[in-house]
Amino acid sequence: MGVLLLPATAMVCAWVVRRMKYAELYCLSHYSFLRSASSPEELVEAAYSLGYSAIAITDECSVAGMVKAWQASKRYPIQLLVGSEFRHTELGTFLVIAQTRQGYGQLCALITRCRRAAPKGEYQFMPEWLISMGLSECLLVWLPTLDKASEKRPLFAENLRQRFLGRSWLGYIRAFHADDKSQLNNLVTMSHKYNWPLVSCSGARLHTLDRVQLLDVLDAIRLGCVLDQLGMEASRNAELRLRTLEELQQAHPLAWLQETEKVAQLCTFDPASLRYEYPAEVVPEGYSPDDWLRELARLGMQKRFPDGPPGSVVAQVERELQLVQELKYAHFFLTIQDIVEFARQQNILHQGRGSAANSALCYCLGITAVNPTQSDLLFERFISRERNEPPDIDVDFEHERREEVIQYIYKKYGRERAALAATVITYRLRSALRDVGKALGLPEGLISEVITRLDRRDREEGWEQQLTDLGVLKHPRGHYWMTLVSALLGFPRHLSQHVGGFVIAANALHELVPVENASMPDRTVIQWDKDDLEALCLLKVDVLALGMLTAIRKTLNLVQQHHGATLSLATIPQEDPAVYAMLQKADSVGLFQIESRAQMNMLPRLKPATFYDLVVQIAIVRPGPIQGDMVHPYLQRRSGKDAIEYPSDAVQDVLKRTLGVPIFQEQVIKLAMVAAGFTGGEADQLRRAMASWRSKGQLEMFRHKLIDGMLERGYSSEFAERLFAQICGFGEYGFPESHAASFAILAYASAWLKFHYPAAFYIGLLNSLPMGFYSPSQLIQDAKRHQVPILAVCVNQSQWDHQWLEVDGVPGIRLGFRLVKGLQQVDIDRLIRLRPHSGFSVMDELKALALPQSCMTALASANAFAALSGHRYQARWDMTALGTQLPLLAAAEASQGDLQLEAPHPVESMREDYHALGLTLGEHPIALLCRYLPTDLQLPNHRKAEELHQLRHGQIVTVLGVVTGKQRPGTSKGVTFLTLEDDTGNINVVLWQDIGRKQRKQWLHAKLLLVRGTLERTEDVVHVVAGRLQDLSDRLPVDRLKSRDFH
Amino acid sequence: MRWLYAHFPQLQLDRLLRMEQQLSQLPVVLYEESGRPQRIVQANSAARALGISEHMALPKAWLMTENLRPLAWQAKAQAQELQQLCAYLYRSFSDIYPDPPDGLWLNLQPMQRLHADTEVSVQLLQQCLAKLAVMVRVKLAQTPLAARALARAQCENIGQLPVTSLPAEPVLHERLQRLGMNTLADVQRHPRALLGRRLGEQLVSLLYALEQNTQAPSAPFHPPSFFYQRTVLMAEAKSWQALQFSLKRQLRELELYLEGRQQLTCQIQLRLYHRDHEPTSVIVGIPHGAWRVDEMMPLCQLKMANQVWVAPVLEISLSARRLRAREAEHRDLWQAGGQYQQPLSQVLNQLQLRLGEAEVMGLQTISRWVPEDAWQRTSAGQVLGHALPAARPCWLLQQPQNIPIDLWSLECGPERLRIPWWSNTREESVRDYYHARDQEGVLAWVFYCYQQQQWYVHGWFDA
Repeated sequence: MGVLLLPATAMVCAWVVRRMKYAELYCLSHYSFLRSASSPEELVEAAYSLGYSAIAITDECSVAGMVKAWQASKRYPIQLLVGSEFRHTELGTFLVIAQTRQGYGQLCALITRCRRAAPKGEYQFMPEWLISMGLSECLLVWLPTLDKASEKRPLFAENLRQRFLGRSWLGYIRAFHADDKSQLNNLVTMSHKYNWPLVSCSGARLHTLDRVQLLDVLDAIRLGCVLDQLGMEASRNAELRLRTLEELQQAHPLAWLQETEKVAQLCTFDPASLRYEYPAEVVPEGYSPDDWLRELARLGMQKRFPDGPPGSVVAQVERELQLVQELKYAHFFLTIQDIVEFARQQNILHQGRGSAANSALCYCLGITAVNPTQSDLLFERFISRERNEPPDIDVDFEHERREEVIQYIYKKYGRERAALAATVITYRLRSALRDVGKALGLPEGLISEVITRLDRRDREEGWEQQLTDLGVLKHPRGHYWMTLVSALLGFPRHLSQHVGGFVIAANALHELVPVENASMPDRTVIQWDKDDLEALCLLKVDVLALGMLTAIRKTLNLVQQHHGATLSLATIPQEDPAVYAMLQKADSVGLFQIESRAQMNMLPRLKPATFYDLVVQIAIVRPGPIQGDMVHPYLQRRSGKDAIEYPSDAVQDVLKRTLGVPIFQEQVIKLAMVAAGFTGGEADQLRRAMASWRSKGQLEMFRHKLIDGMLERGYSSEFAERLFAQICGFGEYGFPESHAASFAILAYASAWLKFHYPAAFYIGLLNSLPMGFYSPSQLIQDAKRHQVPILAVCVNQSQWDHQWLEVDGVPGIRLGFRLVKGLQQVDIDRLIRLRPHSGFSVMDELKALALPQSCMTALASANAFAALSGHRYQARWDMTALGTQLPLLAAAEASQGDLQLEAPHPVESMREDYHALGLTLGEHPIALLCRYLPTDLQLPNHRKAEELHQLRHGQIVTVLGVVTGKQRPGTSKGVTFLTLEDDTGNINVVLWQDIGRKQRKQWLHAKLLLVRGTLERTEDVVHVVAGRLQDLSDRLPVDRLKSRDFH
Repeated sequence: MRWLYAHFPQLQLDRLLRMEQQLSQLPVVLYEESGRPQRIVQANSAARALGISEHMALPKAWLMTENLRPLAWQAKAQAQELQQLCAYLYRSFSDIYPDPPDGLWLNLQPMQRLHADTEVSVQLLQQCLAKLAVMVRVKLAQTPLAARALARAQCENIGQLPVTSLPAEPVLHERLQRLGMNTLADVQRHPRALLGRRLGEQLVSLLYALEQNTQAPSAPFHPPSFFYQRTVLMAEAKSWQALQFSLKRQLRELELYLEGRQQLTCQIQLRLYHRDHEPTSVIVGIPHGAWRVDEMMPLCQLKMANQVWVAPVLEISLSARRLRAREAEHRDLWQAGGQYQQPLSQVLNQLQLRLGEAEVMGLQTISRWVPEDAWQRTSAGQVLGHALPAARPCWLLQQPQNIPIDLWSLECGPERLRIPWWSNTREESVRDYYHARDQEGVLAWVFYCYQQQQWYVHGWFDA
């Protein structure tokens, strides 16, 4: 639309073009969800460019955008005012702006009060709170609603003015509406009546006119209507934006504009002054935090090394303690140690991870089980002096018991002092397409069609290209759809709670940051996310949930109970060659982190033989190394086929432990420093940019610096380009060595347990589902392949959980009721409580328990009554009764005796097994189909999974099986990995992108799939590369077969 | 066999395919618009060949083929189609029982007086339906329920019927299947009393209805008290000439209808259906009433000969609802006496007949900022709308008129309005509106357009 020039009007008297100081006091950022089309950073940058002296970000009952605005104000030097908008239907809008640090605390308290009084995402504002709550260090701008005079206004206005004497203004927005003049007159009258000064502001919702289309769409989304139906709700013009100083002078009285500067000058609050104060109770009286940490480290060292710690560990701990003392992080470690200690006392398994988690200090404090003597890890990322970033420690707890830890934190520090960090839920492609499409009034059918057909994993054809190919541009609004979706991507939608990041403060948290209600009852979240916390150097403690820890805990309990061995993560025997031999055969179903298709393919090639090999194994099957093409060189060097070379000594120092190939995130950062000359600060910026590369393209700006820096230092351009590709890959899924080590310890523990105590391992895993990659069916198939006897669910034998039992002297599994779909645990608890010691002998005994019909039906479907009725048809018949509603028929029934129904056909039994349990203990579906399908539907000739190992490389084969998994890793250039299961094992199918696209309808929803293709063998890894696919699902009478799709 | 059931699995689709024959080469489906997910109701043979079936979710069908043509299923159109089918068959069969939305029963017992062999009746039905080119599945049985179940499940005898095809609650289907009873024969094998005792009265009643109950299943079809016929044209009609033949045939049907009832019609309503456009509606008023083609055709010609249509006509429907007895006295609408007060609607109808429909309109205000968009024409007789926003004139010019602003004096303003970017009719622009007086002192609403850098008058205030 360009710059608007005002024609000769009454306001032309303001044509005194001269430089003036103007502070914008009223701006909404996109953290006032769906009300603004500009980010805090954009608003700050625009205000700076327009020559404003200050800008207030006044989001609606929120300071969620403050930190971003503050960071931007450091890049674009401009005074940042922190405030918030509060709207009231009768009285208008109030802006509360923090004058000082204390005022900021008062503002946070007001926001917290409003937010806590309303459900998640809403707020309740009572104007009286402005008077009753202590806002002594805040400024107030009131934009009264003049056409809705309420009777109480005179009194309220007078009280408000008194309360904010000298600190409040009546605000004027020149909106270019028809009633501007009467609004202005009313405001001036009110100003005279109460002797209240007037000040100008914009109420900006845009930083530039270019965003006006997006703002209209946001309005339509917020109001839940199509643009054309917005009617009078649409903004009639685009004046609620940041204007140039000239435009402001044309639209506002000069004195009111100058008043803004006075308001700004009264504000001294700087977010940089926010200081975190640690909770004091983690340090006992008589100790300083550092002394107490040293004491705990000493005690922990004695416990960890009963025979005395090695000298290297003592020295390492000492170094780390000194660093902690220097950077004043003792409280942080003590807080985590306190939480971990609680978990240890409660026997809750845990494992720390993060940059600082695998230090020798953390090992001694019990935060991690990674033994510093076992592996020679790089601790460079422990805490960085150069980067001044807070240490990062996440602690995983058993997922079923994490709530106990959370409740402990709330109990210990109180709800006033502890809250979860926020996660900003942003628009993703699918939600943006849907919401923008609806707002534009596109047919619902078209929107669904596009979303259905869009292949978001297709990296080569971006979504824009795919939409174009789908003919979206032919629609009159198709162009807008694409442009606006692109603009909306990444926009905040609402605040949610972080998975487990706690902020714990020394005093009331709401003086530091507003606290609001989360959707879970009794949970509260703060208004900042983890990036904000990091930017302000505030510490958060991540209390996370991990299913594998639950599974390991349950397995360890079973091992103790039935084998008498007391083990823990730290005491499981290390470096067991038999365990590594199992892993080298890719026998890793159910194991932590190394059970995916890609990991299984790598295991026989990498052949891990030590703990550090496992660390590498976990980190190497990641986008960074794969996209950077580092996997093959590493394997070649490891197998001795390629020589290990280093371009320089400096690089050798960084890459020596990984044979000259960068595999971990910190190696890449370190390389940027030693090979490209990045300073510590630049390396830190690079690390942050890596985290947000996908969405903002920030990495590109480092490209030249990195490559030029390396070329200058004599490295080859190929090496430099490869390193940059690595950085891009790491950007999305950074995997530092320390993380990999934390995961490796769990991977090894689960592998060791699987190898030595398979029955206990599968029980632990099955009793901790849902988690991991595999369904119960797949895990039980795997257990059978490991000669673990499995017994069916039985009304007389089973418990809720799966149970350990001996079958002919071999440890086995009795399946539990938890596997049966549609059962309530409370009903089963009752059944077990009332079950006779010798079990039920007739159906009538069970009927007498009067369990809910749904429970009985589910048990019959699961064939749990087999001991009583023989088969499920008979069981259902025996338990079916309608009572006395047909008395005449009762006599007839008595005289005719009862029915004996035929047992189900094996195929029907299999179908029912899957329906009720999601698995079958009978014959595999493929074996049954081979035997029972009618001649005209017979399955084509095919090779079994077990045969594939004997076939030659390059042989054309036909295989078929039940589809149990589909994966398309982001790094795979459109390749899809399918897993088929037949009665002899799993078949790995590789589906190249072009074949996949052409035959999508054959495989995308197939449950039983035939694949004709070429067998490929690399060492012990066998694939079938698909050529022709055929969906045979209509021959499979089972609709409950589960496939794990695209995880 | 006494009962015949005819199932029309793609009744609405058949009509669409008749209208646009090139569609039959493509996979075409009708889907339920309101469902979540939207499910397919009818699919043509090309779609079925690709594995698309009824009840499938539409998004899934999209994945099966790139060329899918999804069209919305319309319950009302389906009901009309079935009614028309019944009316058509009523000429040959007396006892028809519609089974909406896609089936009907014929009671063949009365027909046995004419055709002792039921096969003849079946052949007669097939001949009638062949002319309409609709897909039909026909089955005969002793009871109406059995005939219906057989036709829908495509089974030869009731023992083969899958239990899932029985007209019962899904929960009963599931219970039977879960006892291993998958077909009706599996159920019939067991003592009825035991089944009733365990599975309820509904099953016993159902078995009785299937095996023995020969009672009529629903209310019989009665021809409607008005005439309605919708016809697919043999070729697209672009002009009145091309339409005459089909219209004349429909009027002949109407004549037969009226003659049989000794009635006159005072109004004929024609609807012309186009591709991708709303149908054109034409009302031909016949104040004195008429019943012969020779009388009605010239009136239609008078009304339609000069009309220009938005698009070629694919179908035409004719309805005559204002009927009265032929010999009855009636008031002459055109010579209504002094005391007779005609209702507004009648006056409007008469005005529209004389002046043309488009010349008599109503006005309605709507909530929009842009003045041109803040009102709309509506059909005559509707006087509804919102109050005008303050400071706007009641009299808005059809088109803003360019003015020399030097001769005007601005009073208050500006109100800045933008023509929104999503407006389909005007270019995006920004205007500043003012109240201003011309040289005579008349108050007007003027604006400055930034894009054109021009001043315009847009409306006049009351004095």
